[in-house]
Amino acid sequence: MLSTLREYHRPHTVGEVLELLARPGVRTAILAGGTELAGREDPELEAVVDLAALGLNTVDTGAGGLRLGAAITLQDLMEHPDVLGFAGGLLAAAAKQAAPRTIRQAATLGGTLAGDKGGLEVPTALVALDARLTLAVVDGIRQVAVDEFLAGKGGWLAGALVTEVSLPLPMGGTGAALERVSRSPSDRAIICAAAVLSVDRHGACKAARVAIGGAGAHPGRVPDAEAELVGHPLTSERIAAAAAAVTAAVDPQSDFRASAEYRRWVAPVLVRRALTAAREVESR
Amino acid sequence: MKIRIVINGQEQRWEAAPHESLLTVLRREGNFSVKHGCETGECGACAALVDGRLRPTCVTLAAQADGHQVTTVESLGSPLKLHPIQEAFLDTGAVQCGYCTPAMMLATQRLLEQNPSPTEDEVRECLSGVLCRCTGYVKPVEAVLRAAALLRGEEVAPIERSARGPLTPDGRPWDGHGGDLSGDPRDSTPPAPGGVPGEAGPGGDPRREAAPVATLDAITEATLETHEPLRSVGSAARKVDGPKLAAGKPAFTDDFEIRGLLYGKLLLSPHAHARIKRIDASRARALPGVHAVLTHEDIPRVSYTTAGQSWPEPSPYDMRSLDDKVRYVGDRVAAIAAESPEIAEAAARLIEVEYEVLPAALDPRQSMAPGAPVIHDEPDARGFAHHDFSRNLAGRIEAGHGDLEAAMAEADLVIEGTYEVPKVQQVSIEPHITITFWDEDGRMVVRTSTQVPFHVRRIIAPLIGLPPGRIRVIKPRIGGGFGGKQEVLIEDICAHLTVATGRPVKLEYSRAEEFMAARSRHPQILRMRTGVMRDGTVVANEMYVVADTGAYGCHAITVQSNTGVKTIPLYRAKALRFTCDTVYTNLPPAGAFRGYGVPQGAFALECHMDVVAEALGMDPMEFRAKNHVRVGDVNVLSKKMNEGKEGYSQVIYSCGLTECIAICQEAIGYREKREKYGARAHGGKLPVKVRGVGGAISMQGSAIPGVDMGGAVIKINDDGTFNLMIGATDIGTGADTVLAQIAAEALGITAQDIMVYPSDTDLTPFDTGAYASSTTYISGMAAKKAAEEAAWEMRKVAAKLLGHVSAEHVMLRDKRCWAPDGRSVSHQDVSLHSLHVSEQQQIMGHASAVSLKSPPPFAAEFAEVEVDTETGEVRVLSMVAAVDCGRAINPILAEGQIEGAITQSLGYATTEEMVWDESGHMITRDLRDYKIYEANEMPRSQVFLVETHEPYGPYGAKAVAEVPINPLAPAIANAVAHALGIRINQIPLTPERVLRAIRAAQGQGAPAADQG
Repeated sequence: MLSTLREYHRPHTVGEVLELLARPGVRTAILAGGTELAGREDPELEAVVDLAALGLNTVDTGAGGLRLGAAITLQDLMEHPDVLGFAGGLLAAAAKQAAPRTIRQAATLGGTLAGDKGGLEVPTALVALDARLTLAVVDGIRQVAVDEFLAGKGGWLAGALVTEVSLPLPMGGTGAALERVSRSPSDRAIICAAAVLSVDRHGACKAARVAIGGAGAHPGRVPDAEAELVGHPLTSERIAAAAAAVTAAVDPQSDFRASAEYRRWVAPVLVRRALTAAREVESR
Repeated sequence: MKIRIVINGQEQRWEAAPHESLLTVLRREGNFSVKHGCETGECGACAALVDGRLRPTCVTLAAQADGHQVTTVESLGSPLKLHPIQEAFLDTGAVQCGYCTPAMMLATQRLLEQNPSPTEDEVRECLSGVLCRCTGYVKPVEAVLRAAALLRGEEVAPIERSARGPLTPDGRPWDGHGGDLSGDPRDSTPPAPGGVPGEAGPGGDPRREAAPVATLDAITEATLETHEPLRSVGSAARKVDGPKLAAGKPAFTDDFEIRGLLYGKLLLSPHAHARIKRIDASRARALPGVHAVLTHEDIPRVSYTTAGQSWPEPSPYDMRSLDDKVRYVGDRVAAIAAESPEIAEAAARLIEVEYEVLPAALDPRQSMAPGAPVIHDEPDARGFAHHDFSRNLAGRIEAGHGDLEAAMAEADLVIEGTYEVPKVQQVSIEPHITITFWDEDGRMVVRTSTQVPFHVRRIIAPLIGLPPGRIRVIKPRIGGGFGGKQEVLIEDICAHLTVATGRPVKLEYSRAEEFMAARSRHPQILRMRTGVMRDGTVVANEMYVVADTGAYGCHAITVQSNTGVKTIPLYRAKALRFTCDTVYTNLPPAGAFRGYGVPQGAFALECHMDVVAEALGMDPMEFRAKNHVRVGDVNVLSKKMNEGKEGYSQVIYSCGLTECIAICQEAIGYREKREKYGARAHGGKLPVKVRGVGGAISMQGSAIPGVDMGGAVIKINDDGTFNLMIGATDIGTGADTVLAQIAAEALGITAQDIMVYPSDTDLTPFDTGAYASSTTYISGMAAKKAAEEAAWEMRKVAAKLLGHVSAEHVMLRDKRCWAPDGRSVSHQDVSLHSLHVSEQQQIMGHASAVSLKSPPPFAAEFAEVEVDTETGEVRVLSMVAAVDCGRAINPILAEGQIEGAITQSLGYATTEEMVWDESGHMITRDLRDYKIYEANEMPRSQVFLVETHEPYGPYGAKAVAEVPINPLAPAIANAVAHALGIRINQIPLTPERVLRAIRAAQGQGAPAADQG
């Protein structure tokens, strides 16, 4: 219950948001969908700043790739034709699996990245898609790669507002896939892996991004696995070698859903599956 | 702040504080269809359309909706003029408790606006995010598809069901009309004026108790010949409370406005085990807006049990409303009443408590060990049955039959196995909620979400120092119970707060409080030992159980006695032994949960029977067919243990088990899939994805024999309609409808001609409540007898009006009273005559029912699974259930019970588990972490009613609500064992448990250390 909340703001500009956040002595939180905020026990929160009037729910497709407003809901993300058509619909699939439908109608892309209830799928997919975040701060804007952001979320978010998530256009010949494990089909993931692969005319891997969520403090890339792939034909043996590199690269934690040991066992399996599926998506 | 909202097309300006949720404000402004189920948006009961998008209003600030359009079910239709979506939900039986129905209908409205012809997958996706604990989503999906057809302007066929059967006790097709033979075999004889022959009470005819089956058949058939086919009973009547639920009318506990309401709040213990050395509430009391803060120092110390059972409750009296010791994280420390929830919460933070933290025991094995902390060291705790508080033993149960060791010695093979089942919660979407107030006569009114209104009145009386006669308990519509509300959980403390303040007080649990401080299913460790002959004959079966009752012993003995008494006697054997130690731990108390101990026992027994069959090289179903009980068999343990004391031998008079098994096998393709699937079909080498199929069977009872009692009163109105007043407690199951159908049958009318008024301790006769599968059987018998008494009065009046006919020969049908020669007089004319014209009298009937027999309903359930052998992920692909509930009074409602039960059992097998940390704090405190199934992830399911005729049930009925929750979890475990060739003895079958078992079997060094 947010019983100490006294102020609700719905500014029309990002500048106003930042001014409100910068006020000394007023504990202020950003409100996007509300799913992260409500139900939180914060007996000192005094003000919220609603992003609804900023128009940050746009999807722009351009030569540089896909630019997503941070306040787009997960439901819009999974239904938008441009997102569905981007990199095999990886992000749309991730959004769909992240939360039940009613929550997807409220929860936003930015809130999913900035908060801690958004699940593993969306950030993991964004890492694999080489997403960059744009943050508005008092003295301008900052850009940060999504994995860097996730590694130091608290620092990046101080006095800042995530305004946009941009995804570079994949190279030609790209396939992408997401794999996950959960107790039931719609349950939150215990662990998930995403892979984005680009293949040249000769079938050799031009670029590979492998991301894993739920096997460390935050979703991140697995460079050792990627290194096994780039420059090589994507044979099953290569993929197995990349997957094998995962075990040593991850540092999972235990929680009630599964032990660290389980996650270590399953991480390479999911990476292998994601790579195999991405290769198949590409070849179609 | 002022907000402007267009609500259901009307612009409104409302006052809302910045922190208030849209849910709070919508309800305050009278939109009661929007329900509170959690605080994190996960359950969806609060969802409303905001600018056409269905979103959870509990996680939406009211201020966010400023300037937007909000649509709730209040905009759809009224009970008198329902929208086609509402019609479809009612016709299909999609409305059970009705608590999540409004959100589902809004989801439907939005979907059908955008997509008039959705596929089933699209429907399931649209309903996902609205959790339903009652239906298993089968009927809601059917409702949406039907609504789509209606809105497309298509003709839709009426909903009909032709159940299989009914069958005679020996399996022959049977059609006709048999009454209960409970008290008087001359069932067709009208009751004598002034009284209805009742079931023989304790000390009744002992010969009946052991009646041989052949005799019974004769009685049954003799009785049948005199009757016409049933009309009301067996029909898919709409729920009598359906229209108001579909219209989102204010029908639940919280949908009630009263001036001067205060908000209650409990301060819960942060420690698993501690003594309160000092408690100072002075700062909290000084906070403006606080009207009372109660600690153990402020109220009398009275020991009691929260178990809502008949007097004297067979549970230890080991609780106080407030105590100077806390025994689990979440135990009560203090109670507050304040002007607002915010003030109450602030006050809770101002209470100063100094704890002496004590060592805690969080595992029954630990609390049984020497030197364990003693959880109940208070001198005024009163035990029940064989207990030893100094060893944390809440109760020991021993029940046996025959010479077990001799039988084991005689067996060719003795097979042992140990099984473990988790702590899981009922998760009714409506949390526990109570409103208490003094009425104008100075009587305490308790409006509460309960399964046991009469027990609430009796149990809280000594706690608040009032005689029961000065307490009135009202049960409104209930948003699901599943046993969780067979607990007098918060009524006492809410009433204490009204006593202290003189004001109305509302106390409602949050979802987190539900998980911390409500009840749950007892976790158990079960050791099975079975002796069999080489030919597959079971000769001895033994079950030893260690059960964890948590910090208090509510239902500790009775739940656990069911674990053995209703499981191992399912198989004939020379000797049986059941032993159980129910142990205290410093965890939230367990209690009643649908199935009441049988799901635990059935998991162990039914897994073990597969293990035994495997060891014998027999097909598990052939093994079961060889050994399971049949008509004429006796449950030999039922005499040893009943509600904590000696009981009554239960002879099986109706049993459709053989057909249930056959139907399931056929429906799921059992024989082919046993051959085609499984590790063995792959030569023992596991592929990445491997399928398996398995089944299990179970029985329950129908009411607690000699204990459960129900009363009914029925009276006629001028127009020939009736009022039925019953103590029976409809908690969303459809009991009001079923009882109306039973009464209607006897009166020659339909359920729609009866206004049912249930469970108000001032206005209705007593009933023990909605538990132990008693309502259809016991309360149904009471309704039938009361209606028959009223019918007899009508026949007498009609005979006079018709002339030349004796009352005995008047038949009631189609709202008329008929002479054999075809002349008739309407019910209305009979009523007008008897109320206004001559020999005026109120035509009415009243009756009670109790039974020494508890006819077991039976069920077989099968599952097909796919296991991912690299990740351990288990996916249930399909599930099939066939249930013998005797005569299904309302087949649609009966199916709904089964569909909901197997969905809960699916959760038990795969996802549901309460998990706590090493200090006893609950980790799974919301519906994100405690996972119950959503509409879009359900396996295919098929449900069959295998009707038999139970000679002792009203119109042949037995219970239906509990038995189907028992077999599916072991069926899934058996299917996984078939798939993998590896037996996993613990549920839920999480990916980690399954992968560990696979790795262990493959020698990959994966010790069975468990997570969590």
